[in-house]
Amino acid sequence: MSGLIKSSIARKVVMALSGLFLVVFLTQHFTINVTSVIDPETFNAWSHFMGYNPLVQFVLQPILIAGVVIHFVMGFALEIQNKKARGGSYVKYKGGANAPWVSRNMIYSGLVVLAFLVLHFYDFWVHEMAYKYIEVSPEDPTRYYHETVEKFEPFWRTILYVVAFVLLSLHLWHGFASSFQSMGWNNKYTPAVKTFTKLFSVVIPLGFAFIALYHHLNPITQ
Amino acid sequence: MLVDGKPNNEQQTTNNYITMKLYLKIWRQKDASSPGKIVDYTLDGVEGDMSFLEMLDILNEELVSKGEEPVEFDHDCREGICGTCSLQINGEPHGPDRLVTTCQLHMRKFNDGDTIVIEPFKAKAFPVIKDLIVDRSAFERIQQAGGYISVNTSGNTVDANAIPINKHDADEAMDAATCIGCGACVAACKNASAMLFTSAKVSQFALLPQGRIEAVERVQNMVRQMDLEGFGNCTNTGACEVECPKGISLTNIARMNREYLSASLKG
Repeated sequence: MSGLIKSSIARKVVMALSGLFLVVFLTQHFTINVTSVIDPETFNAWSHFMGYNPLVQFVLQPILIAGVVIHFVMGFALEIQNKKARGGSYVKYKGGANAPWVSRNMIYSGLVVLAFLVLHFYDFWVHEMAYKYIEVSPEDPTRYYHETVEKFEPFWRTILYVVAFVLLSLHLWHGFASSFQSMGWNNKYTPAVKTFTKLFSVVIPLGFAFIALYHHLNPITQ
Repeated sequence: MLVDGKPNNEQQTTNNYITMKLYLKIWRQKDASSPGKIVDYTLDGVEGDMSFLEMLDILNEELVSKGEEPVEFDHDCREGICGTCSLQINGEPHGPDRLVTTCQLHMRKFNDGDTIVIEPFKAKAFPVIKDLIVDRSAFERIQQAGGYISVNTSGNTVDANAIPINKHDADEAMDAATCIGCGACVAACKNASAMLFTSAKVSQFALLPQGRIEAVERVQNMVRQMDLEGFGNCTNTGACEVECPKGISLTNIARMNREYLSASLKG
């Protein structure tokens, strides 16, 4: 078993499975967020459910955090291993001649997404934990919409979010389809998986960026 | 082909009949423990129909005639089938051409006045022996770890041709077996991963009934040896497939991953 954990292929599979899990989470996150543009009441209802449902809070949320941690810790470990494997750099290395930029720079797009996650956790998760467990404020199923919109009032935050979504798009562009290859799944359906990957990696981050910009441009006026 | 003593129109598009002056930047390294460096050479009179290795032969003749140490490089068949030649040429293994080895790369692919950077394949698992020669015996150890089948030679051997194999599998096994083990996949990969090589050697047996008997141990042992040699991990950039002179496909890596996961589940 220890041999399996150290094995290069097992590590690839860990990256693939945690990555796919995060793709599923992104889809769910986007589905709820998009309701903030369509119908604030639905957004409030879903947000309240997610914030107070014990299964979501005490089972799914820790699994999600574990998924994120595993993905980036394994990503860093593999990056270090891969850098060591070159054993010195080429004087001239034409990486662009044989592999797309996004596939060669997953560590950088991943690092930007990770930095964004720190800000995002501070913005919403830390605030939520403080509201519920430190301040022990009463349940208010109507607060989520205006709290979210208020977050996007500052221009700098909106821009940081949009930049992170662009890098998320690049990360997904390579990572999503790549995870199937890592798990040994390369067959007649692979072209369809690659097409879906391109659609997903544009539509979802673009949608997130649209939501951030929409709330920035449509502040709550009282 | 010359028409009235001049190149015809077709040939004018190539550099066959133009002698070139090239500026070479070549990695020189005395031995594995010495630091290496790029040394500049200027070579005149290079013809387009010379192979890349013939160009280096000319350079070496000039160096020897001047009493200088020739540039060491690997070569054997010079027919693109043995996998001995290597070289990172202008940042790409086996140079800018596709589906050819360095020995089959012709100087017509370059232009008069070009600067060409020539380095050894670089990987921790491929230590430099001298100049442009690297030690690729790590590949041999991976092969020895499981790249074989056991055949009964007691006189009751079943003729391989007597075992029915569907054409698709036979073709894929043959495609995988065309890997010549040159190491271009490792040289091209940003992670110096040997997964294309190892997967080709796993696949050529995994697809055939003769290879199934030792399939579980084979993939586990070969992957373990690959990891022990210090190669990097595949991140599916696809650089190896593009640079492979034999066009070995990434589907082989997916197959190896499947074989490995299935072998691990079987214990």
